[in-house]
Amino acid sequence: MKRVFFLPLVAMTLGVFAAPAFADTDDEIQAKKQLFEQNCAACHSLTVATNQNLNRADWNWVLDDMEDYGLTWLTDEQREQIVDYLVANHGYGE
Amino acid sequence: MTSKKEGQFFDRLRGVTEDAGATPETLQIFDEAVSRRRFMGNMGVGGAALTLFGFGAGTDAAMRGLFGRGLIPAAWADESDALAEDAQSRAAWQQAGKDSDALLVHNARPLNAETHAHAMADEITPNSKHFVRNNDLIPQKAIDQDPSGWSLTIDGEVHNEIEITLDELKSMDSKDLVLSIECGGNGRANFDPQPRGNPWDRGAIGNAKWTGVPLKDILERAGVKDSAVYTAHYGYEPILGDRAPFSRGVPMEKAMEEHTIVAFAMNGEDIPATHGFPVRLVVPGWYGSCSHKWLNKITLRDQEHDGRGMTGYSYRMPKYPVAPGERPPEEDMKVGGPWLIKSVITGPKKDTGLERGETVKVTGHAWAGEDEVAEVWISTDFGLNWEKADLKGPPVNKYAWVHFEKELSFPNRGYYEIWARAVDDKGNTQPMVQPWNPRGYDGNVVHRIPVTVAA
Repeated sequence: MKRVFFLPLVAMTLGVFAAPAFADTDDEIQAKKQLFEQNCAACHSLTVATNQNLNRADWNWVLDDMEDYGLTWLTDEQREQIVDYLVANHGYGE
Repeated sequence: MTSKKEGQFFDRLRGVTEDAGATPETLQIFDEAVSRRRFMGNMGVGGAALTLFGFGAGTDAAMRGLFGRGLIPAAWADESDALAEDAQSRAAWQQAGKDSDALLVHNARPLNAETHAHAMADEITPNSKHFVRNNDLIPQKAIDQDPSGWSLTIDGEVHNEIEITLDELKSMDSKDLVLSIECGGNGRANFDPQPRGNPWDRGAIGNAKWTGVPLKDILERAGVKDSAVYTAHYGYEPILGDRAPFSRGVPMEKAMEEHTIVAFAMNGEDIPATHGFPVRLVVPGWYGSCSHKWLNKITLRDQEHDGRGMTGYSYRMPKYPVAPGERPPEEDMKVGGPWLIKSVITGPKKDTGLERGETVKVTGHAWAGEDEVAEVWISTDFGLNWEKADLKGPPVNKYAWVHFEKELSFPNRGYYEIWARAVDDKGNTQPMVQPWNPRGYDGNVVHRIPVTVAA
């Protein structure tokens, strides 16, 4: 699948460009936020996620569905970072 | 905009932001957004470069969402710009003549918007104010209002598979009906904890006048086999992601009910793109997802439908009451369908300030799924006492909502809530506390409007 193959390249390009400007903030949080934005906005508005307020089990449930819907390129670690970000910013606990 | 002009524009904008007292942090976010925007501009956001990287259609919109509005401070991304990230949704919005003041946009892609409760007072919902709910994308041909090549296929458990053109459909006996369509998740915002899905508050319901042919007449043309027990609905909308087409269905009894129509006009006009041009199903009283937009095929089945939206937890309810936050096993879920008794207060607007002794007219609508609205009761003391509202009934036809009114005055100062509670002809009423289910369907808790009375 051509689409999937090239995604890391784009993410890398953008990531390299964007990272330094967030120097004053928590780099780890920003990296997770960026992963969330870059991967989820590939298909839908970020508000689809950010309007919600879910616990970890439910965010994992959402990610399970998104993987079924074509989000096939995430590593396990990236997926966990996205879930971490969503639980911390659009959640109510573990 | 040329890059030089754009640069001047952003510099000016930055100055205004700074003058307005923006924090250094906000300015930093602004700078970040602008530098990204310039970077994308240099890359050629028009799509060619991104297509080279291997992204598919829609990338342009998604990327603009990502590098445009997504990083601009919330105060800048005003409501009128809520669709900026998706050119197609914006075009569909304009084509439908949507009233941005009446509607709250939840998402640009897929396009989802609900009507503010105070903007729902019309007894027949105009196209400009009707809520919009999409699981996937809006077809370009619908935005262009181009019906060429459209036909409706009826297949499956029928004696003769048939294909009906738009002219043929319009030449059949049609009827005008005022029908409520309500998203299964309307009211989800009032669940605690919040379940997955769009946080619809009260406004994912509309009550427009639809013109169409009873589905029954069309199915009978094809000849329904005795083996048919369920429908499966399909449309020509582009699908978001790599997944099966969205497809729900209803039992044959509901499909053959005389108010279930194949509609080709909404409030006397061609159906807007956002509502299913050229033809949609209207299955009133049931979750809106049964009323498939951009309809082009109905398959009759010899068993319950298993399309996307019929299985797992989607549009499904637990077979027994569950604790808030609990997810029962999948086999304990069943297909959701008819709506429950429900009402909305359209006036006064929440947080209205009143004077002592001032008379205020409470207005609203009530509807009852497969049943009929019998009464609406109003309370201003948190449910201790209830007074009956006047019903402007009966509805023009079954499944249309019923308008209610009640004049109130508040003799003393203080904080009050106006509550409305409808009762159906079987004695069912609305709960004071929202019962919970894993995906937040069937939300019908009483509507509460806070008002303050001055001393």
